[in-house]
Amino acid sequence: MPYDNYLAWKQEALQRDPLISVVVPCYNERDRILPTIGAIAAHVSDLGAPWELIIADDGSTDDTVNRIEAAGLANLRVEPAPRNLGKGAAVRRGMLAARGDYLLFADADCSTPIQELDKLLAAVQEGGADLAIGSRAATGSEALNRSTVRRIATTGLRLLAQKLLRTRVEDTQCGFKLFTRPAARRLFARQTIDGFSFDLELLFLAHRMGMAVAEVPVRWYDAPGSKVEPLKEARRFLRDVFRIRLNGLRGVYADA
Amino acid sequence: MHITAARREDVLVLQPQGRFDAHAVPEFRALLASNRRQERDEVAVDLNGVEFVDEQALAALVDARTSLRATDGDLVLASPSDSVRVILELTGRSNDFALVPSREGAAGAARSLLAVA
Repeated sequence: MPYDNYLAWKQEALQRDPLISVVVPCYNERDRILPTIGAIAAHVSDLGAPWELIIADDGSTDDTVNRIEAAGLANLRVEPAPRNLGKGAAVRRGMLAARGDYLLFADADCSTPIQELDKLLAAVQEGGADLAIGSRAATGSEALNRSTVRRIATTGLRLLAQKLLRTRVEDTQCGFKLFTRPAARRLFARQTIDGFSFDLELLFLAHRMGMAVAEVPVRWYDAPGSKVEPLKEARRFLRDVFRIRLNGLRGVYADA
Repeated sequence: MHITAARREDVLVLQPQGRFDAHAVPEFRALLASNRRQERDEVAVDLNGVEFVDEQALAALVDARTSLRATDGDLVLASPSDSVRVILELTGRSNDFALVPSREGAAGAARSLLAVA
């Protein structure tokens, strides 16, 4: 019974390392985090494998952390930050603390339904990829409620990033990515970008290290109350594309 | 999000699918307003096909139930998916609604529950 799986996960702390770790970065998400945790907990528990949930809080100033801890979930833990450092820093902290063989990070607004994890797991477990990334650009994906401004900005930035960083990935920014543990350790240990564009750096590094990247079409919803400001984030993204390029030329990634 | 509305055994059954969030709340409210009776109406929201529900959608369900009760009607949730069930539990909303476990005969079960209430 799927609900019984959830109850067991809720009540009994794992006595061994998990197979799957799910990391959710969050910042001031008091109104959104519990439904997201619920959706994740119900589905991943239903997979029947041992798993853990890590909330990488990015210095929330509201009662997000209190609400999460009050839920009393035995296999959930919060990895806090002393102050707001950026999404990239939060994801890195969560991923480096994770103990699973397969490590997923997923956005706090559940914009990609957790059910899409199954496809990413198949790409890694059966397809042999080092990382599988959710994609809103790959054939078969489904992006709903996405604004025209966001659509145009995303396409332009994607083309620029592909050109400058020589990545073959169509959608670098979807907040739904699965890594094998060895791949996660190698990539996140070298990540230097703490902000929104950290995904781009990870994919640049993965390409540089010769890792196998599977781009998997997923459903994606532009969730209500999104904190992404398209124009502001586009400027940051552009800056970070050049920063990564420069880092590469300066030898910052020499050991990668 | 697409929500269907149908009347079964005199109970108005609203059936959202997929993601039931703030984007879908206006559609839910409009469907309810255009299909409900002004007095003593009984409504079941079938959540079997819903994989995610956010706080705004939950608040809309609470508002709908309050409004129906004010006119001697009521609202129950029918056959919630496991995701919805867990979300209701974590958000502390489980006790705000009567839950009808089975999708089959949801309207009849809803009628029984509503009659008791």
